[in-house]
Amino acid sequence: MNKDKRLKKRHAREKRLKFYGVASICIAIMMLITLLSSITFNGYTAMQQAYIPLKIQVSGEKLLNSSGAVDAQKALLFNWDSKVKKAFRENFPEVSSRSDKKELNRLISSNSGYDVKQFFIKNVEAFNSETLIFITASDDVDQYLKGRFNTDIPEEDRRLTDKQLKWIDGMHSEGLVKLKFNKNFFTSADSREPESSGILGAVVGSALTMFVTVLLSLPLAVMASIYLEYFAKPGKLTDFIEVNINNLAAVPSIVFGLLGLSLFLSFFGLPRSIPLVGGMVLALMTIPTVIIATRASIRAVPPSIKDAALGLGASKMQAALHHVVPLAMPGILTGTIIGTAQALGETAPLLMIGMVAFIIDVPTSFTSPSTVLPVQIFMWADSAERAFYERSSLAIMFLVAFLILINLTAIILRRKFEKKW
Amino acid sequence: MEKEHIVGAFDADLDRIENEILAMGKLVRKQIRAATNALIEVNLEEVDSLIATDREINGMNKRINTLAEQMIAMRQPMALDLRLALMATSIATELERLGDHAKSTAKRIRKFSDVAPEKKIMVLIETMSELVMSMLTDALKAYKKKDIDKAAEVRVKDADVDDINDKIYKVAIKEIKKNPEDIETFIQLILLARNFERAGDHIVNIARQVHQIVTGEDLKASS
Amino acid sequence: MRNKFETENVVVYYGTKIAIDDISLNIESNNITSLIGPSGCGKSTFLRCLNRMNDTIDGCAVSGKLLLDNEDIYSDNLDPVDLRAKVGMVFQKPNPFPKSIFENIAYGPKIHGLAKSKAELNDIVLESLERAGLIDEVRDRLDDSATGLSGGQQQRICIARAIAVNPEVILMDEPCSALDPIATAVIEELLDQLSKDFTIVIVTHSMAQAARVSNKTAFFHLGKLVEFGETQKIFTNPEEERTQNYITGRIG
Repeated sequence: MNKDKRLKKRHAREKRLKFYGVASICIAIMMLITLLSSITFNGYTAMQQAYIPLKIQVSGEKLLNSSGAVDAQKALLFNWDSKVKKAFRENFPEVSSRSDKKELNRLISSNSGYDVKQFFIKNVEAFNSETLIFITASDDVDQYLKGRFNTDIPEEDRRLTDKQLKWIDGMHSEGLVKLKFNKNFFTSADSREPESSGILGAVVGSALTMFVTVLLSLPLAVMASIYLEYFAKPGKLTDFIEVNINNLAAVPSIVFGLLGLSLFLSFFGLPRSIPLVGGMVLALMTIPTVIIATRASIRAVPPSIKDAALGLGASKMQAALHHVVPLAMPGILTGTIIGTAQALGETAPLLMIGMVAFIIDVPTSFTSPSTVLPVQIFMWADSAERAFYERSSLAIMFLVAFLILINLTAIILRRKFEKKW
Repeated sequence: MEKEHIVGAFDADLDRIENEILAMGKLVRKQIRAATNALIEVNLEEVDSLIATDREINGMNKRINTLAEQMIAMRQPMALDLRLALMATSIATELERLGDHAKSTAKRIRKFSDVAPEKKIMVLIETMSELVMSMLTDALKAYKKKDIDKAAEVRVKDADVDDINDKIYKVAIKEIKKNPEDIETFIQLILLARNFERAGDHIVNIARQVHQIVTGEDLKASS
Repeated sequence: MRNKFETENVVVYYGTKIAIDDISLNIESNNITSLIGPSGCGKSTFLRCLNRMNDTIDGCAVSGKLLLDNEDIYSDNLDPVDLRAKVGMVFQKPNPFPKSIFENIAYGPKIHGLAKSKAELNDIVLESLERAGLIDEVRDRLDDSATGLSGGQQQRICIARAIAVNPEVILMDEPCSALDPIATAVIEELLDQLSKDFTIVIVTHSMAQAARVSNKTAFFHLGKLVEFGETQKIFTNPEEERTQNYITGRIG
């Protein structure tokens, strides 16, 4: 029977198609899992940091001023480093020679003196009594304890000598060095030393930059779309504008960086590496994407709504803003968020406007020098220290989580604004 | 002739009504001819079959009314079509009355069996009958062709029928005065003539209705 | 009776195609005038000329004289926005805004500044709903979404919405074609009430509806006005053969 055979063939074809679809999805998921697991494997250890508990006593009379706060000038002159080193060496009474002392000192972070100073500035009641402070161990100790230190290579080529390794093992077994939650990673900005470095600076920089981007791109894109949909007269000029907007969305992002460099930095003389300029450059990049999404959403709104508003005597602008745009909001928001998420991960244009600088302070305003998270990741991945490598992996995980969060926000917002018409 | 409806079934419904009316009209004319012949030959046996046929004519009237009512309900006719439906019932009513006239003529034959028919007047009555039948033929033709000129001819012939009626009346009165003992005969003849005169009026109504179908004008109201 | 609209030699082009060819038609005040004719005959196009909704269509060119209360509605001094407050429109498919019932009715008065206070706006909304015969059905759910109502109710919301701006004319483009017979009957009864206060022009595909609701009927065919007269006459004994062919469903 011909009919049966044909039916069987159709079913077989459908099954095959289904299989291809499922197979493609599986491949994609496997690649995703591979990516995520490799990043996680490299980065999860950065969640922890080696800390050394020390008992330190500092007398306050030389440092406190009349109001009971720490005098900044005096604090600057005080030798915090020696205080810390001395406290540390108390754990090793047998170490006496100068070279040994030097090697021992290398086990603690070179920023620990600064950290202790900050601690006492914040906690003035800790003066004059023996206080337990966790100071950061050096990045080599940290990496060794995490098992990422290669002990097979000969001693001269290693960053830690055998003697240092023995001390570290001893400290570890006595609980003199612990792996604790890496607070620094989330509370500090970039630093020369990996153990003191964190992503807070880059995160704040990214947030400020994104804020500028959305603030500039969303209204401009919506207004441009309304103009193109409702006010532009159909003709060669409008077609020309449309073609160019569509093409702009495909332009490589580094071109926008060049534009920013020549326009904002050279011509307008704005300072480099600030969120304001970064946001402006990214806004240029995002606007075409948002325009395309907005126009599609506006077109999806049934014309009967616009007609109803016009029939009541609303002007075109009123009909557009009161009725069409709110109904197109889900699509507009989705477009904006996708564009923003894309901009969030952009590195090339921001490199062009100089956001590669080494910024150690968390940015406080739109005009403070800052960097953004992808650039920070790029710089860390590039550096020599091993510890920076695991931190850049953790930062990537952070960035991915942030992007997922943004996409979830997009879905939730879209559901919230979706109205049946 | 009217253009066809887009919905063919509509035309079929209209045709059905038209054919019923034409069939009814044909039957009524046959009835009149039969009644007249029976009258002239004083044939009593014919009377029963004439009465039976009259029942059939009444049945056709009912059927036409039903068809028209259904057409109005189902097709929501407008303008011309509405007039076709409404006038169909009116025309059927007039035809039914015509049938009644034929029946009463037939019934009168029973009375004639006792009296001697007056030759002179019977000839006139025969003429009236022929006129009436030709009027009916004209009216039915006018209905079929929706021809208002033909309808107008009917009214002209009716004038002749009325004239003959007057003539018969005058002759009858004269004869009654001459031979008062034959008064019954002549009264019957007068009544017979009036039957045919009324028949003529009914057919004139049918012609008027045909005119109204075509033009929408009700001649009775305006005249 | 006064003429609300006077139109003379109206011609409408869509690009190079002619949609309406030399129509001269007067609409009487406080009357219901229906426009009938086969698809593409130009009746909707003519309707849309009366409130300049044709302006929103690209490539549409309107010429001829169109006067509302003796004023040229296509003059440069007249803002279409003001015109549309005077001449309201109800569309074929009920199209309430996807907002609450209250907001739907309140939108028109808000943008035209017809209410000076919240209380006044509230009054306008309730009065419009009452005039549209809907108040009893929605009185206690004014904050519910208008799109949750039945088709017939939605269309009455659209009518109430049009009434709320206090127009003088209401144009209706096949308002009942998407509704069931009961909802249609409710709206036809409503039209009867509304015609006391408004001039109504209704385009309809249903000749039975035109016969039921309107006082005067205009028959359009291929962009031309074939016949215009009292509805009673048009449907019992029209002058033109084309009109008779159309209303009896004959191939013309």
